Amino acid sequence: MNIIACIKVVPEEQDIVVLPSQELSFDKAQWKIGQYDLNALEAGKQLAKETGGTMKVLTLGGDALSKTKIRKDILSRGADDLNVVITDKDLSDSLITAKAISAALKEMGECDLMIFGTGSSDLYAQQVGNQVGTLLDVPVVNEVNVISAQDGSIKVERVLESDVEVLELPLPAVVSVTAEINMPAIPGMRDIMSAGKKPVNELTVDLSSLAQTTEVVSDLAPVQKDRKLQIVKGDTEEMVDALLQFLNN
Amino acid sequence: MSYNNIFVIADTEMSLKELASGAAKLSSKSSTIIFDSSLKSLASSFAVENVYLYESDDSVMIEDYAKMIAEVVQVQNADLVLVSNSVRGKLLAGKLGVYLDTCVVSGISSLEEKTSQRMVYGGAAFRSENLTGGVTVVTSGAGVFELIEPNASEAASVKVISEKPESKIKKIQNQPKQEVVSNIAIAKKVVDMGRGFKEEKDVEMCRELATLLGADLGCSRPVAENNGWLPKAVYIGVTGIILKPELVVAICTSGQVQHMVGINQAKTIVAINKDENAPIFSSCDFGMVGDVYEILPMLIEKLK
Repeated sequence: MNIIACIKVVPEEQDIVVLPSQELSFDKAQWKIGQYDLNALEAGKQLAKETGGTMKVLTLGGDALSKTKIRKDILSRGADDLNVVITDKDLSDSLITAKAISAALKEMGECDLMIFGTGSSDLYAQQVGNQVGTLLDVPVVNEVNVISAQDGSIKVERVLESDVEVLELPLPAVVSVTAEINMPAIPGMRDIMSAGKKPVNELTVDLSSLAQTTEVVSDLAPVQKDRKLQIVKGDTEEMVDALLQFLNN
Repeated sequence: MSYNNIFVIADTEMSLKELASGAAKLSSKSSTIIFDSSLKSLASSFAVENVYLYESDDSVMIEDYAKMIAEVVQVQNADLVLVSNSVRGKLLAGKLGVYLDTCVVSGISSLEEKTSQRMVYGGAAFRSENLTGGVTVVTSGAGVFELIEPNASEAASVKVISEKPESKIKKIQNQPKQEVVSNIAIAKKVVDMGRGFKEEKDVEMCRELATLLGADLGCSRPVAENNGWLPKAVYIGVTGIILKPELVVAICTSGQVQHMVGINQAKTIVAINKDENAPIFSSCDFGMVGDVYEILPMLIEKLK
């Protein structure tokens, strides 16, 4: 089975600094593979291995994608090659991202299965996979927790709020996988060494005509509520009595 | 009123109540789409123009109605589509966004006028967005809109659509999960079980405390996902449930950002943790530094 894992490179959350204005600063942020996209890569790697197929990776984003370090990191996780679209386009509207990815996928040629993570770990709209599948007019489902390859189709288990659905999707298809579908393997020395030799293709996709229907006003850290900060320690019974008194007031 | 005509798409009774309440707040005109005939009378008891019942059966995935629904939304000139933030709701919303060629704003925390707010960067920030499309698709989970009582003077008419949607996907089986549906997102009081507990039977201690306080029991992500001690439906935090209750009692939670965004809109936070330096002690109202295995049994005893 020929697979394309679609992933996003995102700023490391721990490096995001909240400024006194409540705005966020990304100046010190390292870039990493989105947390949930690691599951997509792992799922693609396993399925490619099982079926004797291939896994390509597609990613789209800004200048951060020019760095060798992040490219190698992606390629050390089972990918045969990496396809990159570098753009300064604002990708805050998932439909714009989905259209751009669909265009890039067409450039890459045919494949059987496109795998996404449950959501990007920065914006987490959980929509790009759904929308890519719809744009390409192929079967698409989200929250897939098990994938098994069949002849010309896949059987998946999809986790809903109160039940688990077993579905059969003819290929080509698009799935978004859960964060629990697998435990992403940490790349070994050999994976890291061979990553440097794998091809990286820079794709050019014309995104100029894409217009978004939402406009970001601000990203502001939530204002901390003033808390009473009444902290007690020491004797258990005294603490419990103090709590009960606190709750009764 | 912010919108001229809203379409609500509800896949459960709870989402119907929530979204219909939201629609009533945002517009004087709205319609409701349901897929379950048992929700018919509830849907039509809200003051809505029309109720559309897409009569599905077990072989149909409601997400496949997206194209048919998009046509209705266009014909009726709706300017907002409010969809439940469930797994099905999100897929349906994504498809609608494509068919209507507009943005989907997922998992909002608020919607006022034409500005939405939602959490981004793992809870580090709330993003405000102006929704500039002719129509916008929004998914909204529990607790976003305040519930109102159904207020129709006469029940709205129900249009039944029996045509089945096209689908390439074959449904083979449905296995119910052994999980209780939880209303924790709208609970007034919540006991929040953190990852610092030692064993599964500690859940009972937390549940007993919750019962005595009249609270619902929730947990942090690892307790549900790694330990499997509580259903995933009750984990609190950026990718789970965001609470706005009167009281949260957070026990053995360290206070990581991803978890705190789920509880820090609570009016009052009580924290119990043995680590004096746990970040939770800098964002609680009442904190107890001590051994939970001594504190909880005594607290439970005294509450009895």
